[in-house]
Amino acid sequence: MRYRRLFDLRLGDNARVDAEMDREIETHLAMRAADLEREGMSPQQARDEARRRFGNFDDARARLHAAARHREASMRQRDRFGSFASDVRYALRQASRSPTFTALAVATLALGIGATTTMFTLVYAVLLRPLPFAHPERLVKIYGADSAKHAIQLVSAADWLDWRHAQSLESSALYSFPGRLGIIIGDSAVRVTSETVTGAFFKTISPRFAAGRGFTNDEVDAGQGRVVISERMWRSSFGADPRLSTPLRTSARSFTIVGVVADGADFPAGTDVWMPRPFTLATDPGRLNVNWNLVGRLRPGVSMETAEAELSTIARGIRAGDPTALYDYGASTQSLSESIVGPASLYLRMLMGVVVCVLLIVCANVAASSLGRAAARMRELAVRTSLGAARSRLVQQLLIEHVLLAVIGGAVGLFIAWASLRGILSLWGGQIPRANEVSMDARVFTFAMAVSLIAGALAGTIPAMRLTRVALRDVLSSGGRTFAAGGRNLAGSSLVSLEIALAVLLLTGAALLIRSFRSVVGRDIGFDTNVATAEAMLTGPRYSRDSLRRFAYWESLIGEFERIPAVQAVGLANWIPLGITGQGFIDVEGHEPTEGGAIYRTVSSGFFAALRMPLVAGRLFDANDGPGTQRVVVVNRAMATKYWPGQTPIGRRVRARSQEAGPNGTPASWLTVIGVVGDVRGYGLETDVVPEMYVYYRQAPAWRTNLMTVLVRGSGRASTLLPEMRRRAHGVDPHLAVDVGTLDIRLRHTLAQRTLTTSLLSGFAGIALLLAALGIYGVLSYAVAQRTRELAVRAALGARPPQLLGLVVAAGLRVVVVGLACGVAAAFWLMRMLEALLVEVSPLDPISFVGAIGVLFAVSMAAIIIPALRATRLDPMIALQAE
Amino acid sequence: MATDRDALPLLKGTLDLLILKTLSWGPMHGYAIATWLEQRSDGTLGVDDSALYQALQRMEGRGLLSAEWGTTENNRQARYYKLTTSGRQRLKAESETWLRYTKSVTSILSIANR
Repeated sequence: MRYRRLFDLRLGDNARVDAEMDREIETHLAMRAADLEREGMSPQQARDEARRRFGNFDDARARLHAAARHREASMRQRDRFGSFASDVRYALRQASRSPTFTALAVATLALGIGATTTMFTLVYAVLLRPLPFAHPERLVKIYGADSAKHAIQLVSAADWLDWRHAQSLESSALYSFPGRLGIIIGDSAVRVTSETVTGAFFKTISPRFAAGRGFTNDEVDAGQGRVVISERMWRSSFGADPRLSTPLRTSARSFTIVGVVADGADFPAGTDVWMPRPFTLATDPGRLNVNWNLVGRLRPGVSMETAEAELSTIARGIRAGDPTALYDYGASTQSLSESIVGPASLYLRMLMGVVVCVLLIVCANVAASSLGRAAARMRELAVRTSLGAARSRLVQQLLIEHVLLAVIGGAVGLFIAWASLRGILSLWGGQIPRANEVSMDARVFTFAMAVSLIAGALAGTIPAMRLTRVALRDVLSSGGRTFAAGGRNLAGSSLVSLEIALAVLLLTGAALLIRSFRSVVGRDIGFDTNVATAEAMLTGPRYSRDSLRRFAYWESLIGEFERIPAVQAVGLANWIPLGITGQGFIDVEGHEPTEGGAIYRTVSSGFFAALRMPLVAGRLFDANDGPGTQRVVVVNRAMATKYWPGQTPIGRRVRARSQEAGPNGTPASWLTVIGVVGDVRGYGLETDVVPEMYVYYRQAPAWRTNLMTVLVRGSGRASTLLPEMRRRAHGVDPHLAVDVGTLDIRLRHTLAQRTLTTSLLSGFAGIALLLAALGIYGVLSYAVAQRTRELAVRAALGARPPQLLGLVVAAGLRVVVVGLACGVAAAFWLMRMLEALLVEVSPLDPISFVGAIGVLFAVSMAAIIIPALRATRLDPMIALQAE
Repeated sequence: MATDRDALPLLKGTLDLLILKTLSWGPMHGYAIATWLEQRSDGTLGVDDSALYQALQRMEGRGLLSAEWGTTENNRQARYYKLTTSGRQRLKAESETWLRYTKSVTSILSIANR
C-alpha cells in the first residue's frame, strides 16, 4: 500500500475529512434505517432508532470527526516518510542503473563542493572567525600620522609612553618586529623567532595559555628576567613540562619561563619567545625612533573613533612641545583583525566568489546532463503519471535523486577539501595570515552538508520541473519524442549558455591575473636573487661593548665565505632587499624638509658586487673610508633623480634624520654622496622602486651593526652554498647561531599570494572550461539523438552531409554565442572588482577578453563538431527503421 | 488516544480483534461489519455503532486497515474497509494470544467447585 497516496491528486484538509466522515455516518444511518423499516418500523421510527443506536449522536459525531482527523494526520505523516524512504531507495536504484552518469555527476559535484568547502574553510579561519583572544573586537592597532595624515605603521616608545595613559585604552603594549634570538638547548645554539614586548603585552592581548601565565608589568619593571614561550617550543624543547622548571638560556643569561601561549593563539603568529623589556623616557627618548608596533585594548563601550580622537589630541600635544616629533600630526587606529589579515582579505573574497561560480557551473552541468538523459526517464515518468502519480510526487522523486547525488558528491568533496587544504597550507601556509587557525571543524562539515543540499536542489529543480511537465502529457503514444519536438530542449540550452557565461567570467579573470603575474615577474628587480644569505645577531658581553669586535666578526665571516670555492662575491648589510627594511625621513642639504624619505641600509663595499648592482656614477666605498674619515653615502638612481633632478648628486650632503637619530635623541650627522647605483625593488616585484641610501657599515652608528646579513654569490645555485656556509659560520663563533637562506626563496615568498591566487583561479577556470565543454557536448549529443528521425528524413529527401552538419552546428553555435555574450557583459561589469589585484593590465584588457572568448569558442567548437559529424554519418534507412 | 472513551481496555482490544476477524472474509463497509458482528454474537456484544467507527478510524490510522469508497448492492456509496498486510499479521498474532488466554482462563474457571 506504499503507493496508495500516489493516486490521490491532493491530500485533503480537515473539512474534507469531516465531510467524508459525515457521508460515512449518513450511509450507515440510511442502511440501518432501511433494515429497521424492513422489520416493520415506520420510516420516522426507523430513523430515530438508527440514531439512538449510534449513541449520543452529536457527541459521537464530534468524536468521530476528531478520530478521522487524527487518522488522516498520522497516515499523511507515514506516507511522507514512507515515500521519502522509498524515493531514496528508488534514487539509489536509479543511480546504480546508469553508472556513467552517476559517476560523472558525483565527480563534478564533488569538485564543486570540495572547492567551495576549501575556500570556505580558509575564509572562515582567516576572515570570519574572531581572533583567539579575549574580546578581540576591542583590540586595535595604533598608528602615528605624518603631516600628510599618512598613517605611520610603527611608533616610537617615547610616543607610547604618552599614549598609554589615554582614557579610551584599558591597556596597551609595544611589540617589535619578529626577531631572531639565539638560545641554547642542551649543548647547541639554535635561533628561534622572538618578540620584544612591553610588560602589559599579555594583559592587553589576553591569549589562551597552555601552561603558566603572562608576565606582569611589575615583574618586567623589576627586571626579573621572565619570558613566555610558545606551546610549539614548549613541547619540542622543554618536554611540555607543566611546572616550567627549566629556564630558557641564551649565551648572555638565563630566563625564568612563566607561561606558555597555546598553539593558534600566538601573536604575532610564529613567535616562539616573548621577551619583555621595560621602557622609560630615559631608555627611549627619541620620538623619531619609530621601531615598534603598538596594540591597544579599548575600554568596554569605547569606539575606535573616540579612541582615535583622544590619541590624536595627545599626539598634537606632543608635537606642540617638540617640533622634531614628525610622526605626531595625529593618530589612527585599525581593528587588530584587519591589520593581521591585510590584503589577503581581497584575495580570499575574490576566490570565494570564484568557487561559487564553479559550483554554479557544476550545478548547471549536472542539470543539463540530467535533461540529456530525459529520453531514458521519459517513459518511466509517463507510466507513473498515467497510473495517477501526482506531479508533486514525481518532482519530489527527481529532486531526491539529485540531492542524493550531491550528498555523495559532498562526502567526496570533503575529502577533496581536506587534501587541498593540506596542499595549500604546506605550499603557502607562511603567506596566509592566521594559517595556524585553519581547521576542518563541525562548522565546515555543516557548511559542506548545506552546500550539498543546495547544490542538489539547484541541479535538480530544472530537470524536475521540466521532465514532469512533459510527463503530464500522454507521451506513451508518441514514444517519448514529444519532449524534443515540443521543447527544443530550451532548458538544456539555457543551462549550457549559463555555463559558458560563467566560464567566460572565470577565464577572463584568470587571463587578467596571469597577465598581471607576467608583468610582475617580468619586472627588473634590479639585483641578482641567486644569492645565499647568512643572518646573525651579535649578542653577549663579547660583542656588545666594542664596535671593532663586531667589525672583526663580520670581516672574518666574510673572509671565511670568500674562501668557499665557487664563491664570487660576498657583501654585508643590516637590512637586505626582500627583508625587513628601514625607511625613514631624510634631510637633504639645500632642500625643503621632505616627505617619504628613503630606505636606509648600512652595507659593506662587497654588497653591490654580491647583488650585481651596477655603479652608475661616482665611486663605491674603498679602503680609505673608515670610522675616522668623512662619512660617505651611496644613493640609488631613484634618489638622485628625486632630490637632484638634472644635476649630479656627487658631493651633495644628506642626513638620515630618523634612522640615525640616536636612542638618546642625538641627531644624525651629515653624509656626503660619493656614488650612484642602479635601482632595486627593495620590497619585491609587487612594489615600485623607492629612493635608497647606502651607508658604509664601518661608519654607521654602533646600534646598526649588531644584526647583519652576509650576502654570498657563487657560480652555481645559491642553495648549494648553504651547508658550507653554516659549517664555516660555526667555525668563526660556535656560540653564535646563524640563519641561512637564499634571496630566491624570499622572492618566491613575496610572490606567494599572487602565485597562489593566480594558480587557483587558473585551475578553477580550467575546470569551468572543461565542464562547459562537457555540457555543450552532452546537450548537442542529446539533440542529435532526438532529431535522428528528422535528420534522416532530410537525408532521405536529398540533404547532403554539409547541410546536415550546418544544421547541428548552427544549433550549437546559438547556445555558445548567447553564453559568450552574457559572459562578456557580466565580465565587463565584474572585472572592475579585480582592479586592486591587477598590475599594468586594465580590467577591460582586450587581450584577456579576446583570449578568453577565443579559448572558449575553440573548445566549444570541438564539443559541437563531434555530435555534428555523427549526424552526417546517419544512414537514413537504419535511422528510420529504428523508430 | 484522546478520542477513546472506552473504559474497558479489554473490550477495546476485543472489538479491534473482532473487526480484524470480520474483515478477514473480505472488504466490508462499516454497517456490514456492525450487522455481521450482531448476527454472529446474537446481540451479546453491546457496542454503540459510533464505537465501531471510532475503532475503524483508529485501526486505519495505524495501518491495520485501508479504506476506499465503493458501491453497495443497493447502489449506495459506502466506505469499504479491508485488511492490510500488517492487519492480517496482527489478526494472526492477536487471535493466538487471545485463544491461549481464554483457554487458560477457561480451564481455571471450569475446575469444579467442591
